[in-house]
Amino acid sequence: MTTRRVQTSSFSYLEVIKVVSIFIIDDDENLHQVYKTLLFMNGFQVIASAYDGMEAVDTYSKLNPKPDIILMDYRMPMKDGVTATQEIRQMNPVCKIIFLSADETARESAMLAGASSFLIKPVRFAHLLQAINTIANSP
Amino acid sequence: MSPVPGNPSIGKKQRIQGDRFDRLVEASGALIVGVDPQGNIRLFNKRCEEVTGYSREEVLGKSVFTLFIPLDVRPEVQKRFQNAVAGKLPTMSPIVPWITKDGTRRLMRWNNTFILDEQGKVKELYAIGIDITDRKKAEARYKSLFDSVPVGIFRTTPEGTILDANSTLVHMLGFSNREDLLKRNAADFYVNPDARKQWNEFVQRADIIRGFEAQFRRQDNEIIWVQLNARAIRNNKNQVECYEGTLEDITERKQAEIEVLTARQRAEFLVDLMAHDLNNINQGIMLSLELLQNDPQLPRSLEEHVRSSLAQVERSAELIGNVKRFQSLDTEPRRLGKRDLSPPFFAAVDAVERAFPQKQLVLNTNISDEACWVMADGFLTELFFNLLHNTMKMDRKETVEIDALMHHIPDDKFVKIEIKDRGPGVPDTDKKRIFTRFHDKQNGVRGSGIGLTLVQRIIHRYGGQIWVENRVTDDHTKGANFVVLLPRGD
Repeated sequence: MTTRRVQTSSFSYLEVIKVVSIFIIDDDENLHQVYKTLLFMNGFQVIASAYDGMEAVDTYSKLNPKPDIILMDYRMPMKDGVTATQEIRQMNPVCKIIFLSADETARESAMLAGASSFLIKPVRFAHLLQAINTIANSP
Repeated sequence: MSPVPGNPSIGKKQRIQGDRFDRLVEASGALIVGVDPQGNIRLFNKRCEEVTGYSREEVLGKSVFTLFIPLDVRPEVQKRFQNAVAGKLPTMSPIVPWITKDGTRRLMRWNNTFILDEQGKVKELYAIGIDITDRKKAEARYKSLFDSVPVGIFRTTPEGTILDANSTLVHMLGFSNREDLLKRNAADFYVNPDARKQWNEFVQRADIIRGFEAQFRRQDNEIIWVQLNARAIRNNKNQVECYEGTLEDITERKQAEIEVLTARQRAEFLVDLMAHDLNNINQGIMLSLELLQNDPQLPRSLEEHVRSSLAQVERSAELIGNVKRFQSLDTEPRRLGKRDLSPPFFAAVDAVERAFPQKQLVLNTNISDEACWVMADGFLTELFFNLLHNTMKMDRKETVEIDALMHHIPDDKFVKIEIKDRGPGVPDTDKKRIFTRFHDKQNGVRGSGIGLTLVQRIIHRYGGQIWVENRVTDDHTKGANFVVLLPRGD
């Protein structure tokens, strides 16, 4: 992982960050767009996107290099986020997955499946960035 | 009792036997009456005197029919008597009513013995009777109770033969008479044959079974829900001889239960829809607004609108969260335990500070890290969060000052907590209604949240109380004082 100085945004505490690669998994296309824009503005690199759990597992298996962080939705067609998390963790037990769900009851199963963090939607972008930085910098 | 007219040549031994017979007749608890072939009374014991009110002297030599047999049955009784004396059938009926001296009709059960002469003709009739009037009345009362109770009563064999059923059951199962019902097998009524098997297994195993619910098909094919309560009656070999029990039509209750369940499922669906789909939409709006907010091209005149829109989205998410918590108060079982009040209180303070990043909270409190035990459950943080959040929301100032004071009153079963603010306060007219918005659309206070209603419901769940006072006596504009009583846990 490399470190570089990025253009300063209004989130001043993020003046120096690592270039962190991110894989976005969510069935909401609109959310993909805003995630991508905001993450790009803050110096992150979105390297892949998936719109359901099955596509997520398939895409992850083909990604090389693997992303530093996965943003994972819970309720998705074909395969839910918990199952997708379990299958991705089987491929790579050290991958870091941040769960984002509007359903708080999914917290326990998400954490048991191997999520590193669980955020309740709607989440302010500052909190999301904080979680990404914390998880990205964790061993 | 007058001696039985005797023969002068009778021996001493016979006289002794005669005396013994007389004493026995007199001491008997049964009515003993003797008549000649014409029906004239020859013997009338003490019990007869007690029951009829006549003395022996009044009746001896008189016709038993004229004196005692009611007019409505007299011809029939007299005819039967005459037939019996003549040795013809039919014989005498064992139950014959008598009229007492005061005109009361009594019902007697008789055992008749005919004494024959050497030619085989009837010489005398001795009848031993029991007054069964009270027993018959009791039986009639029992029968009336049996038939008129609002639940079905039955007795069946384990194989399903219906031995007895009351009128309520007859009508409940759609029959017009008992006989038709008794021709059917109990198993025929079960919509699901497995339910009958299950019933048999239960009652064989447990001897007594209560609250067994099943669907029955009535005679007219209508399906009803019934609740069965029964016990197994065993013989001396410990085998089940029959089942006795009650059967209640619970169709209306079951329909109500189904309606409640359907309504609850619908509510869960709607809450889920809100919690998930609307919050996903909220997420998109929130991030888009943040994108706008951080765009250097955004005109200064729009900055406040974007900030306000973001706050609205957060309020929407908070409302959705509260509706979900409100629902979970109904569905989660109430399991109260001893809980330290301080950690949930300070967790709520942290959460409220995070919810209002643009405001500053100044908290004056005597709630410390020292444990303060109350009887509560996992909703304690929600309680304090919503109480403090309401205060932060209502006070428009950038710096919000709140006093949170805990009072231990010796020997009181409650811990008292006061949350005092310096916001706009609550007018007297709204002091009670402020907690009832969700249930009382007519009288509730206008607003966009259900936070205080949720607070009240949590407190009631704990058996506590909440009310609002003025922080400064007689001046509600100086702020509110929310007083909470929670049951002590120490």
